[in-house]
Amino acid sequence: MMGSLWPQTRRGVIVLVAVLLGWLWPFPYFNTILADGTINNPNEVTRVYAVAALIDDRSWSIDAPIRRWGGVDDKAKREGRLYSSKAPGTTLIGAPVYQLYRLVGPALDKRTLTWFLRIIVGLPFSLFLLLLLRRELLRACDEDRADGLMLCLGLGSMIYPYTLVFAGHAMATAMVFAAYVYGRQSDPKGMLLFGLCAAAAPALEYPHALAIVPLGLRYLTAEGTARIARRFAYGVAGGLAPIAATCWAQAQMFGSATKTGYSFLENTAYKDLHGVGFFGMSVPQLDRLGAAFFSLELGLFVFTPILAIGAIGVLLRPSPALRSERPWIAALIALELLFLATHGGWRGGWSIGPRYIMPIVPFLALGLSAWQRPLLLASLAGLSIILCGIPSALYPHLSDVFSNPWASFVLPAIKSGLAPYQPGPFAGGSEWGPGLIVGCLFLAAVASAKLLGGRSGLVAFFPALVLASVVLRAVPERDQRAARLETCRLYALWEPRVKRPSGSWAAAHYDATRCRSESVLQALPKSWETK
Amino acid sequence: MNESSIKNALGALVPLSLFILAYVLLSPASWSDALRTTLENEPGLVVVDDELAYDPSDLRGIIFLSESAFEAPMLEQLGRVWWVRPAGAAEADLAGQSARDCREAHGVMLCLVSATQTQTWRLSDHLKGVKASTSKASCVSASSQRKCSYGPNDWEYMRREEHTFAGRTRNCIWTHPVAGGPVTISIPPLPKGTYRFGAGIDDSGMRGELPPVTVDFTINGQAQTLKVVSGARRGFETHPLPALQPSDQLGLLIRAEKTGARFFCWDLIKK
Repeated sequence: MMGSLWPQTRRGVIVLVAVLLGWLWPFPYFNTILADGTINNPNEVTRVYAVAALIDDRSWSIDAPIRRWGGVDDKAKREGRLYSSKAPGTTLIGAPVYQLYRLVGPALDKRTLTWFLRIIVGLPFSLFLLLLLRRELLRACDEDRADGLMLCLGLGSMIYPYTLVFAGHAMATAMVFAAYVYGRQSDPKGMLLFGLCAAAAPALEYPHALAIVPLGLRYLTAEGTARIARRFAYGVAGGLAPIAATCWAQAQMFGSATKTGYSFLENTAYKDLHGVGFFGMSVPQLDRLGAAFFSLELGLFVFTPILAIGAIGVLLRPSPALRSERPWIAALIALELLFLATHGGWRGGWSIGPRYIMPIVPFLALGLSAWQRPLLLASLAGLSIILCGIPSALYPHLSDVFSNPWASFVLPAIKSGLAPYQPGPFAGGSEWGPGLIVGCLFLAAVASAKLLGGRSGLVAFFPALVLASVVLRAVPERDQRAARLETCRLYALWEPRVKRPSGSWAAAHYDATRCRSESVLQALPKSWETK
Repeated sequence: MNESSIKNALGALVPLSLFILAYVLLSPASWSDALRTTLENEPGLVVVDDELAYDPSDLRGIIFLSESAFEAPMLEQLGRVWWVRPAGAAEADLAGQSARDCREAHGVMLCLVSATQTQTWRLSDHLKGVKASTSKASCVSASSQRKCSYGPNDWEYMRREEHTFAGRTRNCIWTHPVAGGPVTISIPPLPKGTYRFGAGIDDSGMRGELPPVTVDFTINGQAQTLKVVSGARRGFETHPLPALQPSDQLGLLIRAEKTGARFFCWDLIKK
């Protein structure tokens, strides 16, 4: 029997509300096309355009939104028309929801539609994932730990940045994990739900078909060979809707149910990347895994260090409840890592954490349920919320130019007062600066450390934070010049736009931080000039 | 230690950590305070080298510009500027002028760059008469702007060109190595003074696993112990040369094991 998804204690509810507040309060947005340029994250924008095109323009082609709202990358081109190259799952889920709204409301502008899709479509998947994960953790740990981990993973893992943007990663992760959870039920309903979730995952992000393979094997054979055909039939029946919808969307866009947008990529650089080997996959390169886990720019265990002990927990010291699942979880993780190690586009451009392997996050988190050292658990939980949560809330598209984004960009941006839209898409709130967000995330880190390690855990968090800060500040950039130029660019194009101050010295500082010279020259005393 | 003293010690750890954290995250770089003191005595615009890691909020109250935003007309307008560079940074120009009076402190190098100072003497501006030879061909440069070809391939020539090293563009003498032997450069007697040899591989050639370019030196035909290895890392690096007498003839032997994409460029700079 499975218990309720919702927390049954008052504290559990409070923790859940805190996580939801963290998801709803900041609205990092960087897509407005203005005269001085834009920062346009194609991973999200192309999906927003696809939904707008389907509902507002009654077309699978995103030509009309591009004309209306400006260009975007990550497109596919077929017979002279442009389409989103992404897996169609986000469009297929987002479009009906937007259509429902359109029955009562007018067409939304780009910013409002982005907010709508993030909150109304994407966020429920993340909430579902977090609640499922909490319930799974409770199979092997107490409420304190489950609540502490829910807070930590909700605000201190890749779940956070990919809840704040309308991309398929968190949604696909929720589906992979739900497939794992529901497949364990031995009844037909379980296999139907497994089929539904397992088919939805690759519909949202194609590569996660790999993660489904070991789960499929595990659950097809769960009742012995005699029942494989029956279980297979239920699984296929469950997966029929997402499979059919994906094939239909692909046929509409690319002329064949089996063709994806990657066969029609418009950007030649991406085309080269995906054209190598088998769907862009070739000989595995282990250094990619090293960077994906340990680099300051992207590392899963750097942004969410608690998952490092989660990995040890799930693979080496699993709880009794997890022991029989360990080989299958290991296989799932191995296949996700195989994709990352073999794919030329493994880095994924602007990102917080290695998003192409995001489905391994909840599985690594399962290993935390039986971890025996609360001080380590508590300090790393607090650190995870600081290191992953703060950049996620401020700017969840960290540039791949930075080899140490915290030192080069995140910390200077906080000290310079740059903030996202808050609360929600309200631009005026950015004038409050990032203090409220940083302060609240700090409190969440403290609360998570306290829940997981008690008073000692709370005390352990602070020296760990000092140590992490010293390390992050000490590691130099790989290409300081490029990092400087990128920082200037991000300051200049920051959204919501920051007004240039009126005082001449303040205006000079404002322009200098953006690598512009106009106000700087105006602020110079005339006595300094020779001409 | 009893339990209460352990609890007290743990309790003290939190404020102590917060204090250290605030110091680590909020205290400005020590050089920014030193710079303020310098500017009180000698005010001027501060140009911050793009290679220097800094937090712009540490420079509040200082009128500064990043190097990439600074342009030559500004130097002419202002007459002189301060240039903050990383300690030990290689010789470089700002808006076409070389830095002078450089001093290192607090982990940075502070230089004064003046619009009116005498132009630095560089061999790249005086290539006429410099000879380049290989086993296949030889030439004598007619001027800095004209190609002096020492081989059959398009890229086997000597000429002053603009190239980019670690993101910074500068003039230098293009001399691509040739296969199977050295490129020998014979330089007519130089004006009296001490010189530095600078060299690097253009950023566009810094790829793959190509071996570096090596340069050996001769003075009046005598081999010198100095050997420069260039291209193992990005950037234009300078090295002091032995003192030259007025009649001394300096020679260079430039070679590379593999010559593909070794976009080698060099110069002699008079100190």
